[in-house]
Amino acid sequence: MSPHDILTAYSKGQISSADAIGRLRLDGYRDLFLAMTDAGHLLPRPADTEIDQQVMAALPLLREALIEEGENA
Amino acid sequence: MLDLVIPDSGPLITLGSVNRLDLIDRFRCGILIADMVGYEIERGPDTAPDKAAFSKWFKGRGNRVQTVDTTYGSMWSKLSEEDRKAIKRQNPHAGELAIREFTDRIRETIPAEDQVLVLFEEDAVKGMNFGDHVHLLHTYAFLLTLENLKVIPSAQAIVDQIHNAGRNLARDTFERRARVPSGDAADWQSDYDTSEEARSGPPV
Repeated sequence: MSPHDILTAYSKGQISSADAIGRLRLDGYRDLFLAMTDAGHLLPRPADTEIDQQVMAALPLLREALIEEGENA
Repeated sequence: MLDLVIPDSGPLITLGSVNRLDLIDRFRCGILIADMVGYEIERGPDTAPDKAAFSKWFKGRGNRVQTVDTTYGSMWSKLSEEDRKAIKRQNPHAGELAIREFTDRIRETIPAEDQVLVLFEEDAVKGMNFGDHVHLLHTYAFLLTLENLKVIPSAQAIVDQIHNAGRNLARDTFERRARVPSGDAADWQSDYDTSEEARSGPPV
C-alpha cells in the first residue's frame, strides 16, 4: 500500500491509528495527525448514528456541568 | 460528580492544534489523563504551537487535571527517544496496553455514583471496559455537544480550522528529507512509502 492508500484507509476507519502509524513507520499519533492534514485527508470519525447517540448521552451531563461565561469554576 | 477521562492523545492534539483546549475547561469536572497521553503530546518540537498550547493548558489547570500513572508509562518515561521509536516501530499497538491499564485504573478508582465521559479518538477505546456510568464521546461529538449548548457557534467551523491548522504546525518528522536510492532527496511520502515499488527503487 502507498502512503496515500494507508491514509485513505485510516480516514475511512478501515484501519486503526496504530495500524496506520506502523505501516507508515511513524513515531506516534501526532505524526499521523500531521500526515493526514498535510495530505488533505479528513480525520476519521464514528458513523453518524453513533455520533448522535454520543451527543444525546453527553448533552445532559455537560449541560449540568457547564460553567457559564463569567462564572467561577 | 462528572469526570472527564482522556485515555488517548487524539482529543488534546486535535483541540490543541487550533488552541481550543479551553473548551475542555468549560465544565465543572475532574479531568483524568493517561500518563502516556502527556508523553505523546510533549513529543513534538518545542516550536510546535500545539505543544505550547498543551503545556500552557496543563500547567494552568492546577489540580483539576490529574495524570494517572501506568506501568507502561513509567517504563516509557525511562527510555531514550531512540528506544521509544524502536519499540513503536516493532509494536505499533503497544500504546493500547497503556490505555488498557489506564482503563482498569479508572474502573477501579472512580466512585460508582460518578458519571464519566470518555473523550477519545482512538478506535480501540470503544472496545475497552471503563465500567458503569461511562459514556464515550468522540472529539467530533464533543464539538457537536458544545454547539448544542451554544458554547461554540459551529462544530464544523472548528473541524475546518483543525483541518487547515494541521498543515501549519511545526514539523519534525516531515521536515526530514531522506535520500532515495538514486541519491536525490525525497519528500516524506516517498520516505515512508512502504510499497514494493518504493522498496525496490525507481523503475529502470
